[in-house]
Amino acid sequence: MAKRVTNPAFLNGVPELLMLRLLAARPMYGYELVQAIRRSTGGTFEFGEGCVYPILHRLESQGVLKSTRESVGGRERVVYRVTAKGKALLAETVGSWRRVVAAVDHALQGGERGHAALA
Amino acid sequence: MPHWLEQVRTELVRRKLPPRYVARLMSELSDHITDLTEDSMSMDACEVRDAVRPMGAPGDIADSAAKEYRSVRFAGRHPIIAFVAMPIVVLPLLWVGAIMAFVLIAKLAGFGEGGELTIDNFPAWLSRSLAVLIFGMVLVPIGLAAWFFCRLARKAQIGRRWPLIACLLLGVIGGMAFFDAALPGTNQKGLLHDTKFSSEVLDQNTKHGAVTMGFGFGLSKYPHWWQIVQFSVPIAIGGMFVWHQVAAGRRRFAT
Repeated sequence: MAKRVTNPAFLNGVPELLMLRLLAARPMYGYELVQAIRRSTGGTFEFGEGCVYPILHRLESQGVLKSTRESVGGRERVVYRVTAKGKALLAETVGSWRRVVAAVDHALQGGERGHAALA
Repeated sequence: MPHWLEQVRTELVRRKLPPRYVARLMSELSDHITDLTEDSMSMDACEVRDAVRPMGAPGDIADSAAKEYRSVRFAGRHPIIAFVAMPIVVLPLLWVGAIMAFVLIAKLAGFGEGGELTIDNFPAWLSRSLAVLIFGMVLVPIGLAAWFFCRLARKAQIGRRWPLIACLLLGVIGGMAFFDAALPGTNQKGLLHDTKFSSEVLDQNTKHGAVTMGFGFGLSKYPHWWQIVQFSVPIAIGGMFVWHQVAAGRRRFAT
């Protein structure tokens, strides 16, 4: 079994990317968002669920998300949705991420040498 | 669960986070725990107590909250105050500081009341140097303010629009500013712009010198060269900042 790595530096920005992607699909409240992250990543990322709220608040103060108090399932909950600025940021970040992943993949597969550099 | 929430509240207060921020976070954490325990309704008492374990340790949540809160600085939360109101206030304050420094240095050098020094015997190159110094007293605060607001924007991770707005405001205020100074002597004109001072001031000028500062656009057909310079410097600094940001962004993800 692969050894679990905690808080690797190369994952900076990944929680925000996942949150924006999922909230762009549909607005969610915090608990719902945490479950969606867990499902969509196949349980690969584990994190303290309470830590998701400071990130949501920061994204909201940056104008990337907005929150409203709504009745969901018979209870009042704070629901987050992505703004137009957030959608633009998401598109830019996804593009950057895909370029980075493709470049790193290329290097791990041997790059210009054409053979695997890493097993 | 109440115990865990109280631990989180204690940790948040210990990190000196604002009460409104703490209240909001506590409210959402409480909602989250309610959802978590509703999903765990079949558990026995021990398991329900452990239901908060997925939430994380109170200290970790408080650390995350403090880090995220402080990463969004005042300038990021209030860009209009930081990049519109503050340049209008900061630049005149910097000029006042420059004038006070000039007067203090002049007094220490022996000019003014109680001093014997006048510029009557100064060589021409020294008078021109003083004119450059006076121009620097106007220009350096403009440049410093532009650099400061660009740096503030970078630290606040705010968009490029705001530092450009600040630099444009500084350019307009700077372009309108007029400043001249006369040191004690029989030459009764300002060193930089040959400003003619009023007759009341002229009588004092031989002993005390004079300083004048004003704002506005003159009636001449074209702007003066010094107005163009005073306008252009902050615009150039803002432009260089934006160009640097764009270039750094491209370098980061160049393929």
